[in-house]
Amino acid sequence: MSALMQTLGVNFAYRGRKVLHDISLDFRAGEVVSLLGPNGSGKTTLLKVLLGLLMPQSGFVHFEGRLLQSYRRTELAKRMAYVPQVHREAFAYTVEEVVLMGRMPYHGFFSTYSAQDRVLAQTAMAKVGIGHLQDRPYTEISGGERQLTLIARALAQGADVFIMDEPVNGLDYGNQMRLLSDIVGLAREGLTFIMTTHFPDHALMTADRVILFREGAVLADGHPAAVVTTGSLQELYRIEVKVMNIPGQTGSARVCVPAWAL
Amino acid sequence: MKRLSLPLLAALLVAAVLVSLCLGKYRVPLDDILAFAGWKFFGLSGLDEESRGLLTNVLLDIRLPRILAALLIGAALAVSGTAFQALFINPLVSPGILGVLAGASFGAALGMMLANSWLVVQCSTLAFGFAAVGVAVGIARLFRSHSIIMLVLGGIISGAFFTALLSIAKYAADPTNQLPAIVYWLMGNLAAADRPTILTVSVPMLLGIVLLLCHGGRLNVMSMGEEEASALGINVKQVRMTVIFLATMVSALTVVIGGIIGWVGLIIPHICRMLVGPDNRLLLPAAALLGATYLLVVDNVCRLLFTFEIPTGIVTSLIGIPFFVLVLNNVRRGWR
Repeated sequence: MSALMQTLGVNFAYRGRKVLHDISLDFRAGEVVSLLGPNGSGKTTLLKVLLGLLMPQSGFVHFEGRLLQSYRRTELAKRMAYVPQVHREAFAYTVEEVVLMGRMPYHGFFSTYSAQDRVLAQTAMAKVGIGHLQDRPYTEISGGERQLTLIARALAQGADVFIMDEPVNGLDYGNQMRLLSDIVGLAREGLTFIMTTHFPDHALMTADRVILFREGAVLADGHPAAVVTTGSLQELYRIEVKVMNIPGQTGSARVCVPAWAL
Repeated sequence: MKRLSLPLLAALLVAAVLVSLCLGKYRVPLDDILAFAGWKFFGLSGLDEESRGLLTNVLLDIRLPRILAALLIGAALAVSGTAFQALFINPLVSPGILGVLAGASFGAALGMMLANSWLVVQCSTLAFGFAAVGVAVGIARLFRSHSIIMLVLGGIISGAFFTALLSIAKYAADPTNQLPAIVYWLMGNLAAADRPTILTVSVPMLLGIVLLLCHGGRLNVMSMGEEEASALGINVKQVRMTVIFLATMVSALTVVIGGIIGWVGLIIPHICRMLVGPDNRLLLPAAALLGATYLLVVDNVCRLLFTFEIPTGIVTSLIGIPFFVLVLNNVRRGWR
């Protein structure tokens, strides 16, 4: 299968400080890819390069075989959605208004939403289970609900590639698990997810593929079971940790436990 | 309520205009105004020759220009304030954030010192309004940063610079003629607005206001942050520069017509946000209508309350400041 997105020898530096070293990666359609790595390893920077928000100093990013910068922003926005981590919230837009913003790439100068836009927004909200929140101010809902609102916006955007920066950041355990299960459900419908996480467990639960990042370079790239191991995690995070198998009804799940807790 | 608010605000504006036409030293009953309009627009013959001449003079030559000035200035300041609040993701921002008012003030003072012609004063006001914003944007660019915070800092620096230049101008001005004229101008006053100026300036102002109103959807997305706006298909730099240009143009032109009118650009967006919510597609037109109505009402108070006129800018500040204290609680909730 040919790659949906591809980076070729991407180098990126902020004011002379190198953040990404020679990154060459392929992303296939329908994959759930987790990027794992310590703080400051360049994960978020890579996401921004993939989104075209940052221009690499050297190297190329291709989307469906075409250079990313040859696309217009509105064209890209119809294919790729960004679900950011931290969110500035200055104005109390309603949840529906935030989701409707996903329809912006489809409108020209006057940006009036059509009845069809509203239907698509409703469908998106229903899909992630926040239909009942539509008239609530975005500033007054919980962190998990906000994250779901942004995912609904990405759905309304009609994008098939979701780029998410630590989607579970700041959510309680229940909301984390609900959100991850939503992501797995959407991936089964054919959407592509490229996301960063600080939790190897979450990568094991959701990802088809895990990429380990350290100091701006790829340490390992492959099937979660092959990549997320006792040895690789110890090398990546420099802590004693064990990856164990928990047998279930149909197969087994792998979990990470720090050595001191065993 | 939200759906009805724009028609209601528009009705309020029309009512305010009719009342303003009636009020003045020479009172014109509403019947006469309607009869005059009937004669003027539809050729009806409800008025005798003498009152036609009188009403043409009072309504068209004296009152209407000043009413238009108030409407244009109020709408321009409220709309550019609303647009800047979305652009800078901060509901405490006012149209002067990038230094346009400081620059225009200096430009007006310089014009008054150098030439005895209104045209020179007006051109200088507009030019230095743009120059101040140019300096602010230039400073932000100097650091190769397109971030909002650098723009704000650039605006602070530029504003301080042109305020200092204004002090120099005041110090150097002839204290018997020029200095009082400068000081009086900077208080903000619509009495000076003459008909040809207003008619000329109304064209770019209306165009600027209408173009800003068309940016509602994009401003909504811009207020979610630069990266998200990009990811939602917005050309962030282009939209930002367009909005800054339009807001600078209309704000500088308000100074050309009536000097510095403070606080309208800050409090009107707040009231409108309470009325129609934060969606800029609704908020911008609401701000235009309410801003226009507000300044018209305030200007009526200024010209009618006493036997002498009070500068409009002073009254907008006197009303604006206590009102702002009242809504401060609301502001804090919106801005985290």
